[in-house]
Amino acid sequence: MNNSAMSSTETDIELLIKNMLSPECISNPYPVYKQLRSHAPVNGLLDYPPGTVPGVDTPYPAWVVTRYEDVDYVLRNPEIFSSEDPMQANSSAPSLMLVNHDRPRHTALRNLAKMAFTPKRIHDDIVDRLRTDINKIVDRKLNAEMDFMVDVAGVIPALVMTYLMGLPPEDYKLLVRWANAFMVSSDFTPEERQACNVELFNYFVAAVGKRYADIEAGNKVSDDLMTAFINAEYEGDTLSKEEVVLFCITLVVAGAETTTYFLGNLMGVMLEDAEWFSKLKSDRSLIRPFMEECLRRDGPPQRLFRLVLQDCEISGQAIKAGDWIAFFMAAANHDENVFPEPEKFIIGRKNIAKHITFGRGIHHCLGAPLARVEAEIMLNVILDKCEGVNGELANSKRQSGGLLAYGFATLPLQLIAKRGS
Amino acid sequence: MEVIVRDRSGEVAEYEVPDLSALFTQLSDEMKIDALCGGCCSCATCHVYTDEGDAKYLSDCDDSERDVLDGLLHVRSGSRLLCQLSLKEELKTLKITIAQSE
Repeated sequence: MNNSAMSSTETDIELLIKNMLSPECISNPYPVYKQLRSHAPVNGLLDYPPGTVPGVDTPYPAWVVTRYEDVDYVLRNPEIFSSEDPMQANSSAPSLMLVNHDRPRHTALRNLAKMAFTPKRIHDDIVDRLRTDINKIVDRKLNAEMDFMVDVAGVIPALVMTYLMGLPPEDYKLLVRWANAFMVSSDFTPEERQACNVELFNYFVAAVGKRYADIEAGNKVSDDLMTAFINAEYEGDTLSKEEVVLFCITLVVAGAETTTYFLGNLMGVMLEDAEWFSKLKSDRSLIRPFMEECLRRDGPPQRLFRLVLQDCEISGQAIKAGDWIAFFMAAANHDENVFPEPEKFIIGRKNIAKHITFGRGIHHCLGAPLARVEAEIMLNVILDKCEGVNGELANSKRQSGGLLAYGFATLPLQLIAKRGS
Repeated sequence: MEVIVRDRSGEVAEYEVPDLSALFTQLSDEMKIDALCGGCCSCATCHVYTDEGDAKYLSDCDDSERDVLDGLLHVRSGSRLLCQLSLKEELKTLKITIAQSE
């Protein structure tokens, strides 16, 4: 390669990184990831971790890591790549529990939290209630023109959060708004974003404070996650009141928005190819593989950040202690060396369990079983009640506010009721 | 040691491994278990059933493993997490069945 070709390639890559936060790239980042995967990590992405406010907080330049092998390496080596987030810590955002902790505190916190997300607890506390509520949500909109993101996908995960923490069900709307503002993937002004962070924090300070007071007064309290956090004890360790507040906030921001996008993306695949509806309706055993392939190809969480603690190499590129990296699970899930024809929706891929939408290693997503249950119940209710879905993907719009998540901002469609229902 | 593994599809295969930690890695590489958390006793995706007769050869189930198992829907006697399992007494052949996913 001659010098001019080299410099033109370097310029192209720099431009590519610079344009990653453009609305075009955010709404369809996969072609950009494909180009980036042909390079070792490249430095210079100026992006915003959850909770930080564009226009107010100053991003650090991050290395962009996109190959499956490299992303996997970062996930598996938490002693080299710390989850501490100095940018978020310096912002007005409440810091996230677990997500932003390293060992050994992370292990203690995870041991307290994982009991809340066991398949048994999800099954016993959520499944029946959620099925009843999703039936009502779908019934209200049968045959009507709707925006699936507002009327269905946006409602389910936030409702589940209200069940989990014993909040008034009508507060789901507040949770949706705050989660959207926190996750930097909607069109909010910096002032609105900051105001939402404050409202979210104050809401849970009040709710958790009331619960503590009820417990101290000997009043009967509901056996939910908030109470479980307050009473949680693991090897003599307990959570402080502020940690309980932060745990509740973490659940809302980590669980509400990403799952909403996942539910929307599932319906997006059905609009892409109408045959999926009849296939899934006639063979429900295809639902799980359908969901997993959707998590791989269209998984909402795109990337996370890590702080580098020791000098290391990623794909031959030297990375120094103190550097900041952005690693893209979504780009890794499209790595053609691991998933051939990655843009195609192929259910039953032999290695589908290797997708890293929920992460891997000590920071794997504790809420993954919850997201899967929400999706599975939603699909089953829709398949039970409907004979098809009408809609054109051309009328939908992907969110373009932030690179954190891939999903629809609007998804107009119609659920066609089964004849005779 | 030799381990006879029945996977989720019902197929049976024999493995010759130095220890059970090597089996965990191999089954994960073969995608017979998800091993999402990488073996840190958290995700329960390496849940297996062991024969009760083999219990005396296997490491004890500590509180941390017991807590995770108690939260599963498909737990039964002989349930263990492969990532936590080791031998406390020599055993020539161990039989395990990979539990269905939750």
